[in-house]
Amino acid sequence: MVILANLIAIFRKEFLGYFTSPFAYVIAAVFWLIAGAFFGLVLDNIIQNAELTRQAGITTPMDVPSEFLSGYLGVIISLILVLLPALSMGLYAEERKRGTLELLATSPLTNWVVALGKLLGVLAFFSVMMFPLWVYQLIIFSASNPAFPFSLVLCANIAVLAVAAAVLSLGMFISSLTESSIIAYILTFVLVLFLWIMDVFGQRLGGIPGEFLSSLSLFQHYNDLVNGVIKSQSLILLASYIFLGIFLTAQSIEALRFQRS
Amino acid sequence: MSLLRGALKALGKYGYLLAIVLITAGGITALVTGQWPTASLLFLGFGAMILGAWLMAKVSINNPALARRSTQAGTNALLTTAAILILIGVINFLAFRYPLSLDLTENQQFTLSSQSQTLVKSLEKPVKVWVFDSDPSSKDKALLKNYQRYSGQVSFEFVDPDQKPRLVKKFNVKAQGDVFVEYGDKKQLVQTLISFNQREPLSEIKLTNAIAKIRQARTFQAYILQGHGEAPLNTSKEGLSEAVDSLKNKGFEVNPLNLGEQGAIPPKSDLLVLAGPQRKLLEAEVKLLQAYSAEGGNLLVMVPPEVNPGLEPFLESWGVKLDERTVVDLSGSGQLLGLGPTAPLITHYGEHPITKEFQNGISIFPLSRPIATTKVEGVRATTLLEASENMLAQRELTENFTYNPKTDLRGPFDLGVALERTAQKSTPSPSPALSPSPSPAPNPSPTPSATKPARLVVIGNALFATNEWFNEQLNGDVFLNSAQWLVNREEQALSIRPKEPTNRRITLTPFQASLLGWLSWVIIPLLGLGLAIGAWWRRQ
Repeated sequence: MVILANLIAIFRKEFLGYFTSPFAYVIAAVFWLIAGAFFGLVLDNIIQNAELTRQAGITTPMDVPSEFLSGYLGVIISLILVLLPALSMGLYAEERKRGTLELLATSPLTNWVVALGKLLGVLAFFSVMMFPLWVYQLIIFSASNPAFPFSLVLCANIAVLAVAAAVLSLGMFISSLTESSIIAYILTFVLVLFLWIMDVFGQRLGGIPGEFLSSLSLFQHYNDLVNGVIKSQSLILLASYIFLGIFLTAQSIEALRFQRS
Repeated sequence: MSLLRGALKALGKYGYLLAIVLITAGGITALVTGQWPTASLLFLGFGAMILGAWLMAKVSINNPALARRSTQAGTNALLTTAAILILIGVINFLAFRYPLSLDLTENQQFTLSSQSQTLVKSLEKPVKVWVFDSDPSSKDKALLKNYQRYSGQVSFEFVDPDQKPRLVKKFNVKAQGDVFVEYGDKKQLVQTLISFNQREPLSEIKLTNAIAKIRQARTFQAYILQGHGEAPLNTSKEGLSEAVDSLKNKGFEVNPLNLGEQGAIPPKSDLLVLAGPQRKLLEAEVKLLQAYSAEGGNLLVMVPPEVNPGLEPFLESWGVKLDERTVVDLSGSGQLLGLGPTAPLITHYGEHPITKEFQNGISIFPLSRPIATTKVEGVRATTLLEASENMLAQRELTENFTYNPKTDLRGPFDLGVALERTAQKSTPSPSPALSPSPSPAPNPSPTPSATKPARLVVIGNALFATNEWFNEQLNGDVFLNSAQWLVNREEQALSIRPKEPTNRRITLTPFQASLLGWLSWVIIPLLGLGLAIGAWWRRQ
């Protein structure tokens, strides 16, 4: 019970902190502008494409809403992957800079509760950023004729959140290692890039080890989920990355505590 | 009791050692055997479980208040981290090896059809799919991975044809985007992904059917008759080695056959090729051919002009007559290729499986004779090669090739025909009546009371399949397609329903469209900017 109360307290502090930070709003504004532009472009592109094939007399069936979903979320994830490290970079680095990290490390709160609370806080703020995009999607998919299965939209958007949680969690760990937000951003971005394109390395390697390595890459799992294919490995992998980030953060703060004592 | 407690305590203390031993053992057995047998997976699984249990015990015991600080805590933290990393790795590896998936799309767009699944699961030998595509699409890759999920026997490779000329040669790749399946030493074209610069996705229907076909396909026994001046099988200009090699690539076993020496047609032969005899066949030999055909044998007969192979009794029963005239091409199109008028270029083909992909391609037939057909009950004759109106067939080649309506034949006429006979009950076979040979055939060949379905292709030319001409234009295809059609009885395709997406459109009302435009381009970004300025203002 105490743990839960602590968790909520940490979560509240972190989450509400974003709403007083001009920096967080700037990130949100940039995200909304670019995401909105992509939205219009992808939609126009796909609808025009459908119209052209119809005019050309091609009668092969075409699922415009489904193409829009995978097309749009496929584009938007690259933007999200650039922005996420900016959200996670300050999670611990700021505390370290202000000197409040010692307070946190020696407080009676368990390290992993702090880490989990912070992660939930930043994830909640990311959801706020995603909110307008959900409204747009709601309008689009409600205009689908015949109706588009809601489960697919839900699955795809949960995939976005899950990938975001994994990236934020690993970013949080990196943030706990350094005092500088900029370094945390760069390192996190490099790590995310690596996780995204790891399947290329795996293919080079070949064989079962290579395939396993590619299967650790986020890219294919994200694509599968956005297309509505839920694989057990995707879920386990995403959960692993989230857990690993929290665990490593807790370990790194634990190490800090013993260093100082 | 105390023993058990002692064991548990020991496990708590040294459990990680046991776990590491197990995991290493699993890894090494897998590395040594080169695959992942159940035993090594069990090792890995148990190792991971013990590691997990040990960690749980450590975490619950390891109360920081009790533990001695500093160095011990440091090593403990390192160990815990390493153990957790290994544990996560193993769990993910198991999830990778034993995949489960759930397809939310309505018609299971991303799941293989049940026919494909059963086929792939029943494979006993490895099948490899080769995609010769320099720009592989991720959808094709996903489809192939799907096949792989159901059987370890399926593998695939994307090959950039520009970088692997040896493979291109081995598979005889004709175009960018060719997809082949390889099964044992057999290879088969599945699909060409790029035609007229239009890309099409790899089709599950075609791939599954190709795998089913290549698995069933047995080796066909083809015999090439020798002994009457026919084209030899060697690599000389007039030899057939090119044709023989291509037949072997298509799953044929090819052997020469000299009826004079062997006295009989081998019982298991699927195809008999008579490639340009220069002398008359013996009557007994013709009888053998006739009996062979009546028993359901398939023949490819290629006869040049000015030769009488003595096949009349046999060909008559099929309603085929070898015209004695020689074909002359007056269109002059042969001159473009440096050929004289006696080398007709064929660009018109009949509607037949052999020629269905030729469209108006060119094939060259130097020194040809027309083939005449009459209607015979139970035999379906189809034109393969059709001479154009600019072609003549002359009895005596005159100097200027002037048309003599009395003796000459003007196009269009046939240069090649494909014939198919359905099963018949006790047709009055004309052969015994027409040619009452004094001594019956050496082998016991009872006059067939019923004829089995059989196929025959007759082409009034023998040179087109020789090494000199085989690789010119469509010549090789005429020969190969004929041979394949002759041996190919039924080709039943698996009925896999194509998975088409549901036809859906997005129809926005004008209000919705303008609402979306305003929201996404103006209102929401401005809101973000306003909030940022507001927050900054408050900070000041």
